[in-house]
Amino acid sequence: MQKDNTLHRLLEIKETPEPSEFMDDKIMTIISQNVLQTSKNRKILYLAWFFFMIGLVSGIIISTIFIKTDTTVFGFNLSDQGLIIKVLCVSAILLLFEKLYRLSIGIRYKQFDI
Amino acid sequence: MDDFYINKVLSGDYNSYNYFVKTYKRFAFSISYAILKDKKLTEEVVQDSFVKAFEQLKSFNKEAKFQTWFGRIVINESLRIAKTKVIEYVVYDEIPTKDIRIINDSIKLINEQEQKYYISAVFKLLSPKEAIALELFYLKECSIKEIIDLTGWSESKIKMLLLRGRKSFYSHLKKILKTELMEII
Repeated sequence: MQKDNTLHRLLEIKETPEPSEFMDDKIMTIISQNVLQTSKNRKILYLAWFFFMIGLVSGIIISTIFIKTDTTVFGFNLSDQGLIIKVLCVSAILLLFEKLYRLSIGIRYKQFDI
Repeated sequence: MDDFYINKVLSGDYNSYNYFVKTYKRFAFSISYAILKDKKLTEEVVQDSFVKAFEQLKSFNKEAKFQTWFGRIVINESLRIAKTKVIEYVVYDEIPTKDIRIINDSIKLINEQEQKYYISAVFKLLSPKEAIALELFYLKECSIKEIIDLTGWSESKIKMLLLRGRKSFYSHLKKILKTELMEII
């Protein structure tokens, strides 16, 4: 495609304002804040996963012990109510796992912050 | 040079990103300003584009040019913002060569400062897409292939925008100069 020289010459006269001299600093400040926030979010996420795993492992151990012995809590025999407790615990675990998983994906792709 | 700094940023030295800000801020500002025609808004869009580019740097294909990749982010971001401003743009008929000659002669009659003022004013009347096509083709000296890479538009669309932009530019300028010259006379 051929260039129109008159148009070229006229457009060169056009005024384009200069960006503000503080723009570099502003951009770098936003970026450093983002970096800081992301690393904070990652730490929080690692802690969340850590406590989730601790809770999960201790839950499995405790439930195994309770089911083996004849323990009663507030008059309820835990081995009798075993199935209900298991269902409730597994539901809670799945719910927490789903939330943590979505949070991890969200932070990785910057969809949302904690 | 770009590759060296990209690797530095990706290895965790985020301060090296300052190199890209310093090198490409004028380029980003001029193409975004061609679309938005507002200094404050342009600065915000350029800032957001730099931040976005920083966050997406991992996905940058090192075989491509950083300027093209970043330019595309700036153009998309600017066009997205420009869409929110609802302005109707007029499509003009073809300008005869005789009129272009008259425009060219008339513009020489006014002083440099006024030339700058009128041409900038006329450029602001162009639609965002026409303006960016003209800016890239005439002022940034980009080839049609480079404009395709920068905008993601087809070749025919770019050619159509360049032709339409040229017609609009001359028509607006003719109108403004007519009024101006009448006042002088």
